[in-house]
Amino acid sequence: MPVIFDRAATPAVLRLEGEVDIADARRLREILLEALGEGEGARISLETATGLDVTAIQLLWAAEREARASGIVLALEGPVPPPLRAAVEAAGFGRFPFADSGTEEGAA
Amino acid sequence: MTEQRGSDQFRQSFREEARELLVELEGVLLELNERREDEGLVGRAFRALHTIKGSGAMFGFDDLAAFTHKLENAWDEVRKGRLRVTPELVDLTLAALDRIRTMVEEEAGETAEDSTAGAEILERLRALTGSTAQGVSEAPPAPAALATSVGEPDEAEKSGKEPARCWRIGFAPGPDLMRSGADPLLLLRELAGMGTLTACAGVDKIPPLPELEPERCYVSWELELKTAASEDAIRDVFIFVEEQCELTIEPMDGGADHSAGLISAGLIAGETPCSGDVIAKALEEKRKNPGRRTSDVADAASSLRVPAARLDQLVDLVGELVTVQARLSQIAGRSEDAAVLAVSEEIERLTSSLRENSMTLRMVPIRATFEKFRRLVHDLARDLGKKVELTIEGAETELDKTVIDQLGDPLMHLIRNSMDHGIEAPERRAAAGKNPTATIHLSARHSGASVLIAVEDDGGGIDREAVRSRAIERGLTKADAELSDQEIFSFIFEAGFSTAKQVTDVSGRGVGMDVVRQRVDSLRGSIEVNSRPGAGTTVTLRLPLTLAIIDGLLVTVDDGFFVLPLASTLECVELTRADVERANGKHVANIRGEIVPYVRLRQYFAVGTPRPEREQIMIVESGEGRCGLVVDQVLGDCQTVIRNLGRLYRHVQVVSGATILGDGTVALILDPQRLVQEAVAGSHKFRPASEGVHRAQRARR
Repeated sequence: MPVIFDRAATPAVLRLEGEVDIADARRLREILLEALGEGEGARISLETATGLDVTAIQLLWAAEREARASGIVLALEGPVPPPLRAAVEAAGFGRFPFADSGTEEGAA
Repeated sequence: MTEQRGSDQFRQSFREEARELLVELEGVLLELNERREDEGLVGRAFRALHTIKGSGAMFGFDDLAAFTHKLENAWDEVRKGRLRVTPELVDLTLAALDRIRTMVEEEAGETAEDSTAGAEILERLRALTGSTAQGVSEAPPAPAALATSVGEPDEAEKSGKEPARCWRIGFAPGPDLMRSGADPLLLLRELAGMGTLTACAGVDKIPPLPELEPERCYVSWELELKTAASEDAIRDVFIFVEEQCELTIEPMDGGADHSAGLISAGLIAGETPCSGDVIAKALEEKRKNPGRRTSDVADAASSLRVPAARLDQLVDLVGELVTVQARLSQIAGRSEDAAVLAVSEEIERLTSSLRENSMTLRMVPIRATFEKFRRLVHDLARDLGKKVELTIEGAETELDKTVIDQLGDPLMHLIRNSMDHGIEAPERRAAAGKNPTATIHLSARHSGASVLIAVEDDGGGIDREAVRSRAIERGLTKADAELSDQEIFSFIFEAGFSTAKQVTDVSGRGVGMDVVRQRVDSLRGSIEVNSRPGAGTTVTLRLPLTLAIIDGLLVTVDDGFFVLPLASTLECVELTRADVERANGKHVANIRGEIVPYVRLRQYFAVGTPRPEREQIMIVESGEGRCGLVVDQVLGDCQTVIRNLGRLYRHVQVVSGATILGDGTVALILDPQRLVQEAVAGSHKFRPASEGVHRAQRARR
């Protein structure tokens, strides 16, 4: 399953692995809602993700916007693989979700 | 599991589309072989390859896309007039199509042998195109290479031959685009492969997370593409999603100059994706001033692809409904309640319409089946060193998909036999004063409830005597038996009857012919062979239009119920004892001055009880002419769900199936065609009307 949610970690970690696409969209949305609903925020790891389709990008986009509006920290854990970042940016998403959400990018 | 099924379904629909495109492409290539300068055909070949490549990439057939891309590049050279269509190019492309076909059917992981075959084709293609097609050795952009491909000059630009233009593309996927298996990012990647692409995603429409439907696409794009490709080529990228998106493509003022672009005016500076308003405005303009593609979009949206299995399921359900409806009608008929009767009649009417509608859903034209034989004829002619032209007539004739699916093999065997044994070598034809190029004519036409499919050749014909002696040798008939041509020719369909060694080269028909008979029998069809020495042979397959439900006439003979297909019944006439007496014991009736012979089913089925005072003659049109079938009573029309009788009864050819009536009684469905044929075979006195009339006319002269 490319979408893994580690609730035990503090804060919880949402790990996206391999190709994340429409087949995972429903689950990804539920997890993001859960992460935001708890008000404690979460970290998102894309380290082992190789591809995101539009459904995944728009979910992450919406989650990031929501988190920002309600002051919840939703930040990246670990680096984004450069090909993934390049692919998403080349598809017209001028800034990748979470790129400006804090200093988390690249943090261990 | 569900996701897996979904993705399998998309791949499956790609496969179906690709198969159709490959058949079309094959036809185009073979036509091109005849008309090498036809630019329209070259364009069609290129577009088909382009579509296969594009949709292959979209559905994850990466190897296939890469292979087709190279082939497409070669054809692009042809399109631009830099490469000529030669028989070698056509043959090589046909071989490449076979390779693509294999890749379409493969799940994943091809064998090394296949890879070698593919590489060999590409190597030969490279040798053929020489230095003209640089692109033949280039692969399409790989997924990971997206970022690098953006911004690189395209091939044409490098060569400096085609001026690059700048296009502004507005692309707003419809809500269901993602659900249909398409991925906008793959489309963008394909555009990036055409030149320099700058993309700007509109994210304004993405709703708050709780309201967001996860499988819906909310993003739209404003794109700028600098490319030498035409508007049509750009539009082709969106060919599979056209009806599910709003698309605008317009040249940007200032040609290749990017400075006029909105995106380059600062929006791509990397801070924010562009505003959805810009895109919305562009699309609004498009709505006000629809382009030429609008009608195409409407056309595409008005048809949809449905798996055949679902249609089969629908027809099965309709079949059940028809049976239950028959019971209802019968019960309502006994009831005195007018309201029940009215409802029952209404249901009967609706069931009938539903049945007709659902049956037409399964009707498909035979074109694709016919067209694929062009390739067989082309390849066989080359291998056998013969010159053969295939002509096709009535390709638009429609018949049930289940029938069509089973027709491929028998037709293939018939054509192979024609080419192998029927058609003579060019020198021999020339010596006999014939055109050295032989013709095989494939035709289809409707005839009542049947479809007639004929394979006709102008070859040497069947050697009647050779077949006859071979039949005697094999104990299929006696040496002194008097046999008609039909009976003799029917031996060629016996299992193992003929191989090239067993029958002389002149006749020789029969390899695989038993397969033809078996298949046609299983379809409840019949075969007729006509052959003239030196002039050719025609094999006609008579097949039922459908295998599921038919309109029938319910008749009785003694206490048995029978159904006659309505479509083959012309009229119903009363036959009194006085009429019978007037005919002096002959089985003929005078129908408005025309003498029509008849078969009395009581006699045929050896029913011993006395016949009623008044009988009914059902006049049917058979391949032999008009004749009558005499029954006791005609009860009326009925919708008939055809059930198979099972293997035990497969030799009872006059019965084509059975049906269950409303009260649970079983009625046998008769095949008038076979009944008449058997009557003709059983009695030399019995001649159908047309023949009888001709004889009478001859006698008058």
